[in-house]
Amino acid sequence: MQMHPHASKTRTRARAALIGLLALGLIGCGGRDPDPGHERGPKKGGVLTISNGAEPRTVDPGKVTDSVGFIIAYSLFEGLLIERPEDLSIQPGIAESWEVSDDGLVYTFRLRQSAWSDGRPLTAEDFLWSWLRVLDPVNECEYAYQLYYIKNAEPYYRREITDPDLVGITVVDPHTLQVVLERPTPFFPSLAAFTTYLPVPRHAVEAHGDRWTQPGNIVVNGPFAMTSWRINMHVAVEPNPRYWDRDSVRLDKIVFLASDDHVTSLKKYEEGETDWVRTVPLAYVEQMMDRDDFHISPFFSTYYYRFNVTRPPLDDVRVRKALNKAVDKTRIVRHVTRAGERATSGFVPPGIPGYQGADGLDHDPAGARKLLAEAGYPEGRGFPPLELKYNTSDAHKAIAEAIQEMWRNELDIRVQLVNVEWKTLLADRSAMNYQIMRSGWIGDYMDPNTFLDMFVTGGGNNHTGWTDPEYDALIEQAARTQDPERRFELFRRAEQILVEEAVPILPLYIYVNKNMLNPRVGGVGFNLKSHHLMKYAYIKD
Amino acid sequence: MTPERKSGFALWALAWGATGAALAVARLAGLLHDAAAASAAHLAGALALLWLLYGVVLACREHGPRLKLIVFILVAAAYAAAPLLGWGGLRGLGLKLALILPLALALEKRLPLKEPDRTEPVDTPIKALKRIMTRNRFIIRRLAWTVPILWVIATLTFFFMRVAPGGPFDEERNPPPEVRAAVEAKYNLDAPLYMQYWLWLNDTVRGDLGPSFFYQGRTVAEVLRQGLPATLALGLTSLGLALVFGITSGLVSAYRQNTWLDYSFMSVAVLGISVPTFVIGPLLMLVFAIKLGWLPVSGWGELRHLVLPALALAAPYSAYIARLTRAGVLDVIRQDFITTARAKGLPESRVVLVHTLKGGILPVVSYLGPAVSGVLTGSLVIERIFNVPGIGSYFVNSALNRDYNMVLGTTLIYSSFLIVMNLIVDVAYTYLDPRVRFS
Repeated sequence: MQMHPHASKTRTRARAALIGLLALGLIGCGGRDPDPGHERGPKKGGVLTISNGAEPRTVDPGKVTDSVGFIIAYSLFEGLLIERPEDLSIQPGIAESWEVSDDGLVYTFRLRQSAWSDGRPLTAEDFLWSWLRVLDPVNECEYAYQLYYIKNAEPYYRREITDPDLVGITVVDPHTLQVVLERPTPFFPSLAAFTTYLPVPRHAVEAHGDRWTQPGNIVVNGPFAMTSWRINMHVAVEPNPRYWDRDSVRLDKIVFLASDDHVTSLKKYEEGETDWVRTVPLAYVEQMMDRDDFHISPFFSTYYYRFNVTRPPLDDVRVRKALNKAVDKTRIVRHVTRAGERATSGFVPPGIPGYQGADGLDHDPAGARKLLAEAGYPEGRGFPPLELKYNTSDAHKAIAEAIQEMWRNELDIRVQLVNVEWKTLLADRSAMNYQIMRSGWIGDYMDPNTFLDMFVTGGGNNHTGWTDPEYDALIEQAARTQDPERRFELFRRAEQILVEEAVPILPLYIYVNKNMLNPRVGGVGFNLKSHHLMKYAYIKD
Repeated sequence: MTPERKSGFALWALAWGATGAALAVARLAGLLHDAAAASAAHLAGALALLWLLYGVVLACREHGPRLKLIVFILVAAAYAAAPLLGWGGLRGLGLKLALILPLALALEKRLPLKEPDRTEPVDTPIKALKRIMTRNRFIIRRLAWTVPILWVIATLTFFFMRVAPGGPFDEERNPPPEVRAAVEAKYNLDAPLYMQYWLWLNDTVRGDLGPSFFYQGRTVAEVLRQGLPATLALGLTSLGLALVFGITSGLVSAYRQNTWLDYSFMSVAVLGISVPTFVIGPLLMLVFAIKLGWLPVSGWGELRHLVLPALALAAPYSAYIARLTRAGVLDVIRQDFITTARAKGLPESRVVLVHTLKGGILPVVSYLGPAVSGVLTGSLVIERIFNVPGIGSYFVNSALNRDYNMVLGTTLIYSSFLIVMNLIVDVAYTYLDPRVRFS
């Protein structure tokens, strides 16, 4: 059917013009950063945009449990003490000085004059109230156990005693706080800097309940105050004018962006839309490796596999040792994870000053085969099929496949890989419904105890069914020992039992943190705990 | 009043009623707290009720006095039920609507459905009203089914969620047993399941969707309220773009059938359908945001943030719509009435845009139902890639986090939206094609 020729030409021209207009309209402005250039000194001002990761579940310091929340909580609140990010050394915070008694049990903190962001003075009473709030189970503070080092804190939490005056926290006067510990705890200053010990404003919490952290309700005492919080978009903070050390704060504003997609975050960084990305997807690590703005730092945490020692064949320690010895961990970090992780056969990551951990079992396939034969499965004959469970992630899958292959090659045994979703994995773990399970643990404070007390008999985080009275006794004794060298000796012996003798676990590697940081940002250090204090961050000129 | 005026009034009343019902649902979902909006909802709901009653009266008009008495008693009982139960305001209104709707439906069943007589001119008010009643009966019946369908969906979701292993408070570090006990008591998770269901049902009907287990200190309604505008903006823009691009290219392809224009448009369409959104999205990002730098990589807040995600989401739908339009238009342009229209001297643009398009987009209209659901669920991938703070992510993440209340809230929203959209599509279809009958 013929159309009118004139009409069709007009229409074509009109359409072309429309497309042209649309194209013009799409040209927005894309920002580009000027080249980093030479060294510059700190300057006042500037906006720091951080791709922080997922949307924070909470910023309440008593309840926050993930690195996404920690960085924000530490920007808004400050505790008695702070840990400097460069070297994790303890510095005065709200407490301008502190003393320890000779027996190591009594800490006396002298607080400086400081105030909440709404002008109300901050006193020792605030710390007492905040810590007792954490110790009330109805407040759902998962890290309440961090306060167990304080005298009677645990019985108070478990409601075995109900009088808060019995708990070892005393307000001597509005600017003096005295803390009595259960036993000498050399890492207590490090604990006092932890988020669980940060103060919260009683008046705001009582007035607004669970909603006290919303902008408009929230009252802070830290270097920054919250100006906006849009769910799944960002949390924005600006300097708190009532912060006692206001002059040290150099930034004008920080925006913590929320994003689930790490690739997009990386692309945003590359386009100059953000200054700092706190995680880099595995697929991009290799191409970022040589860049100056790519920072790899070891992280105080261990990636390992757990064994369910209550079920055969894993109830035989020779089988577990064989499984350990057959795995070449160096190959895994070199060819599978490839981000500079450190292979390990011990459990406690390096970095605790003065602590020399256990070496664990070497890569020894011949020895592994011998052990397996001794256990009754020469050359893998008759070995029942095993199941290795891991939660959904490309990285976990790649590692599991590599290890499955190693076990097949060296020991001739079949292991089936089972990929389950995260919550299902946790449910299986609690119910001991697994044989081998992928696990990870992050240390809470710089002491071997945070890793080793996991595996005491019936420990809440044990989940292996493993029990050893000698191990329990060592951990218990270490908790009561004051001499640091003797303590570390006891821990070393315990770790030896854990990773060389009884091996209810298969340690693989120490995690690393991968960050990309624009060189124009200063004052951000990458330490073992991935601990960041934004008060020290600044933009160079 | 002339018949046309009366039908106009009826339509207006129905539109008011539908708006009121929508506002009432929104109010129930906690999305509206404004007193003025609540009053408007109330008024509109009352008008909807009046229209229903009018229909009921008309329907039983042709029956004997006994039926009329029964109807009168039932209507009076419906009006008495609310104050007797102590239910006031919107809840009472909702109760009345819920009791009178089935009555209207039951009566409608007894009345034989007569085909509207189009060969004769409409000259009586009753005939005009009957024609409208046919369509409205259909709408009313569909609307009446909405509540039971939503209830079934919500109940199934509620119980399936609980069956899944793991709970909202399972973490890497096991919380101490005291915390678990305190938390479970606080959220009633230690009560028997049927009791939890009853409590949840009571709260939801009252409009309280509960607290989120995952986003501590926030309610489900608050979280959804903050995210819904973004998802709606993205979804509607994408659909709009898909319709514009799709219909235009389908129309052009049909009129330029078997030319290079037709082949290239349809090839692009095949690509658009085959390539998934999670490939198109990053591809668009790579070209326009990274290589060319015209647009931001991701984010939300300004119009330029909307462009890439909307394009990525619209792509497969515009492709499909293009193919459907082309097929539909090809079907129509060979028909006699097109030649007649041209012979009558109508301008070509009118022939194309009014007559051809009206018949040609029929397949598109029936596709719109699944298209809406696709756009809403596809948006969660796009929202994730482009960091759009919508509710798409909650749909998946809340299930993975076992955030029971959030799962139910998002399910209710999506389901209501789909049901209403499908109804609108069905009704629109009948306007476009007079041959289609209600059933």
